[in-house]
Amino acid sequence: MKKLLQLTLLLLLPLVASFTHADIDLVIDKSGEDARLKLVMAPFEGDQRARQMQTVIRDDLKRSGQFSFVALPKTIYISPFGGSLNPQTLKPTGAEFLLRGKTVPIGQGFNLEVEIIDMNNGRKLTGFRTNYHQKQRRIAHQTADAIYKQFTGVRGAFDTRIAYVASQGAGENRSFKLIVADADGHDPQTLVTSHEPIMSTAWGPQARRIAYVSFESGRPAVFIQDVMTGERRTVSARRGINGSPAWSKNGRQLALSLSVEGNPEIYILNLADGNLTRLTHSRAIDTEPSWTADGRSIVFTSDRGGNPQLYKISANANAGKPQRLTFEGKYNSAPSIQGQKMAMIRQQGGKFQVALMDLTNRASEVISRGSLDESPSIAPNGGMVLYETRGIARKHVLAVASGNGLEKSVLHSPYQNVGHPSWSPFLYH
Amino acid sequence: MMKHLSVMAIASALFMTACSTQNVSRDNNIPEAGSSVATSTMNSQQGGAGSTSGLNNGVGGGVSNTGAGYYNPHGAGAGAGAGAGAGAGAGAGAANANAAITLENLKNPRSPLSKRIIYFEYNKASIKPEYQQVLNAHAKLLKQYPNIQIRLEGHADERGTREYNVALSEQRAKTVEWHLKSQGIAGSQMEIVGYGEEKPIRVNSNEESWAENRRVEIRYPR
Repeated sequence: MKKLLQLTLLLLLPLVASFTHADIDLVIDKSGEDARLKLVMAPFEGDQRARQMQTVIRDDLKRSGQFSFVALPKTIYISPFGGSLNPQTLKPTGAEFLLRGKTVPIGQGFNLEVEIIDMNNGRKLTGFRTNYHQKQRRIAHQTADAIYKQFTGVRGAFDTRIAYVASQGAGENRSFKLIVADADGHDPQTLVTSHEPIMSTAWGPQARRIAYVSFESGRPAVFIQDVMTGERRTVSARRGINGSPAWSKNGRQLALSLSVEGNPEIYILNLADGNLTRLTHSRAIDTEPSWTADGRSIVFTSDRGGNPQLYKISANANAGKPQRLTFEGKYNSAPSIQGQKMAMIRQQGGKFQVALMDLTNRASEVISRGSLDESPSIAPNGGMVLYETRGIARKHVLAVASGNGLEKSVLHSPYQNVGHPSWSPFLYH
Repeated sequence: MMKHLSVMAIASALFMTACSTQNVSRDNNIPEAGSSVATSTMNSQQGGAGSTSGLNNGVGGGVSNTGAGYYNPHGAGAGAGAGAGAGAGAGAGAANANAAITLENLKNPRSPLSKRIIYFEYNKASIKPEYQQVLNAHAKLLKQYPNIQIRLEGHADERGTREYNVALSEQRAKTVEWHLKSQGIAGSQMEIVGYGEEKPIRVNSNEESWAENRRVEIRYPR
């Protein structure tokens, strides 16, 4: 409570007072109409690659819904990287901070240096250097992560990966591809191709493996595939539904929805010995499990009350009675949890949209605006939600909604029909 | 049944060329640059781009492709399809209810056997009474040919989430299975699978398309 008070006070103080010391991690006030922090970028110095880095960083930060960018008026002179600045210079733009950057050539590659200038006093708040990486876009993503952390106090999730399914063709020629790509959709690579549906992608810990459902045998089965080697194994091909894989944090267990005993129920599969533990016992549909952050519980979709709603149950056997979590909206399903944030699909007023719930107080709000949104997958930092929505001509596209609902961005993809997205954990490689 | 499946290893690209995430350092104390440039060559398979030719938005013609070894339930002559309205198919067959229950009649649009799609209400798995006659005809046929094994393939419309729809569509297939079992058909004669919303007949987002997509297809081996 005391902490909350302090935070509120900090936000009420004039910016000049709170931000004079470069060491203070800034905290953005998320309340209010548009609480986005106004930034301005000076053209990054260096060759073409510097400008590309700048674009990627700007797009990343924008997607988070925490920042807005004001254009740098042509009439304003900005001193080069490292140079001093008169704080009056950018007053007319209303920008609170200036980002300057430059590439420093190292052999064939380059390092990227970025500095943040506080426009209230013209002083440098901090700076970052990101070392060269052969996947050059990752240099920009890592820099954007550092900037995000500086302003929000939360680790950035731009240098991460996504998986999704692309479908194309019709009838006998229909094909399905399991794709992995950067978190902004770039650099897509095909992991699996099949003529039968692939669905429900789920990244394992450290983003090394992906679990998914494939109908390639004419029936659904759950596979785990190593992203680097392509090696894969079947982990569940029981009678009936084998669906909805969800990894435990340590990667040793998969929560699944199986109908092997007749009705779709939630199970925990121990990957080492293949042991199955059944958690639910109802005559309803129980599916779409997701682990809570402490790993002790599973939240899942069930229509035991008539319509699909979310319920929570202990992840241990003899779990007891599930507790209902959602009461707003006719239909709540497909939970995706990160920390104390839970994304889900909610039907309200005939529309299926992404809602985000704070698990500490169960307050939730809708953050997407499609009418047939589905497959939400929350970013590893809990700040954004990746989901499937309809683009032009009702084609299925992937989009990212910021946790505050202020920003929705369609992700780049060379494919015209994509779905089943999954956001990877943080990368450690 | 086994379909072509290619598994491509994503080469070390994701991994080999990756450096530590701890790569970003505050410049307060930057070690001298230059050491961290990765020199290994990128061995990336660009599987993503370049293979997009011939893209087509979804399933056009209503032929789903598990059908390789099965009769297409959509195609038994003019009267077979349900048209726009869910359930439109059933009543028309009344006059021919006594038509012979033979395998040949699967292809006869005047036989109730030509009707092999059962349609459902939104978020429901119960069978509407008008399908009783069609299901009776199939039960009779299966009794006459105890060696025939059919597939009951359940489907859902695109509303709601995908795995929930897999469960819903399997329930639909199970209700059809239960109706056939109640008429003495052995479970071993039926294989059921729920495809959820993954194999739509129509890709438009309107009531008409949704009604056609909420279905169970009764598939006989060819």
